[in-house]
Amino acid sequence: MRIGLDLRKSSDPAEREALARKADSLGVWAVLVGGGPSGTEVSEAASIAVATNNVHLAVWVDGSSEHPLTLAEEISILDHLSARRALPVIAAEPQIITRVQQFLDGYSHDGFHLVPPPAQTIVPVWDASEVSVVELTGDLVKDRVTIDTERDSGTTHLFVSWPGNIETMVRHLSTRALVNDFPQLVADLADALPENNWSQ
Amino acid sequence: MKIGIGLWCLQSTATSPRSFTQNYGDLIEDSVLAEQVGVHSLWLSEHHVYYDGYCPALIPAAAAALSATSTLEIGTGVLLLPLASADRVSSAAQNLTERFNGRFHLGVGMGYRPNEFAAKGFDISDRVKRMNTGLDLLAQERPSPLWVGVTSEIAARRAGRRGLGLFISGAFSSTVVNSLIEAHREAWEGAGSPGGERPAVGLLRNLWLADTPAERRQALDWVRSSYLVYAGLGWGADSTGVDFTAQVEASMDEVEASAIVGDADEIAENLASYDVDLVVCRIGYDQPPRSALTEVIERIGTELVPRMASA
Repeated sequence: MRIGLDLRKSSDPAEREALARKADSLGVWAVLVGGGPSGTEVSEAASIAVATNNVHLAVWVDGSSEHPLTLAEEISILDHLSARRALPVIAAEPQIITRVQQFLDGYSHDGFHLVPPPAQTIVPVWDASEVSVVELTGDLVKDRVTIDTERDSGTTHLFVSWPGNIETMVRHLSTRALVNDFPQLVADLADALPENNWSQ
Repeated sequence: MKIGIGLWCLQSTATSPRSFTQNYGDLIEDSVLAEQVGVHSLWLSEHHVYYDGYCPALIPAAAAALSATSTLEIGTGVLLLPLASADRVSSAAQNLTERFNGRFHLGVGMGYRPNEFAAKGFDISDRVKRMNTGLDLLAQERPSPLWVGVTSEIAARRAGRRGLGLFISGAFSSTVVNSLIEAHREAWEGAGSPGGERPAVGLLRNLWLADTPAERRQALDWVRSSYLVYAGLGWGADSTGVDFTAQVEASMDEVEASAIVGDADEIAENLASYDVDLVVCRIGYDQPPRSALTEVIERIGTELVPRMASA
């Protein structure tokens, strides 16, 4: 199971961007942004695209108030701006979500195609109602149980909000989520290592 | 007079195919360069379902360019308002205004290509009604500095009486430009000067800084060929001498006649003859190599901007 960082609890765009930079530097699979007023979601993801290099940009989009082609156009541009990192999560009726996926996949509707096509060969369009999101507590003993339960129940991608520092989450939980026999000893010993003081 | 650059359309055309992903990366680099050399603003342009991928989503592109810079202003020149939900556009503009300290400018236009309306499920015959409804909402909410792209005096009056700024095409002669400015001003005054301060006027001009006769000819050829895209899109405007639907060559001649190619003194003298607040140098042509584009951005910043500062 992969863990992505849900940034929607932070109300400050600058803080969300700083958290995204940190997550990016630590190899976090994805950050989840959006959920604000309709029309602002992809724009925020575009800002985070510029600030990061590798993290995937899961963007929670209200799909109820615009044409599916317009949504697909915004996502395609985000995919180019981010060099293939767009991951739309759409809150809308299933037929709207299907239509957005079809445009991004290259199918036409009423004779019209999405141009430009996205950068990725296939952009996964996720139904917001099916995305797994949990709020972690920062108490590693409790959060380990949450992670283990999600992973063992077959969740493949989990977005978490996390109240502590991201290094701790990555060291103890992103790692643990990947396999069902994570050697907890390694994370605990890593916590106890002296700080790396190498300098040129 | 403020000096911006435009139009960034992010295309891959039949004449100059390229990677879209590279284009969007270049947009970021160009924005950073424009800021470094003192250019006021960079302007994006929109179309939909056109073969060359002409940018269909300006707000995300603007957000990225704003994120990569700290003083450069970014504008849409123009976003096609009747094709979108005006509420959603206003929210998005407000969001960019708040996040980037007022560096975002929302320029809107009506659109003219039937396919773009059909693709979004609208009837093109509703476009004036949708435009007016959208303009009323934006005039009320004022989410950011507002500009209206126009091709006719009727449209200039539409903007003027709402107290909205004017954004004028690069294709028009100075005679047409001045008539649009006059119509805009009269409508604003006739409506009781809404807002109290005369709304700004922005003018796109095809131009290039070039020194030798060969460079000047080359730049004019780039200007001409850049209108192939509008021939493909079927753009034309009544009573302006520019109609790429019916008279492609004559329209290109008209565009070439109003283009300003020369050294910074010549360009500055020409631009100073216009009663406008902002000139957007239209340099985002299809054919110039990247080295030529970055050089002209540098020259605009270092040679033209200082000359126009007091104009």
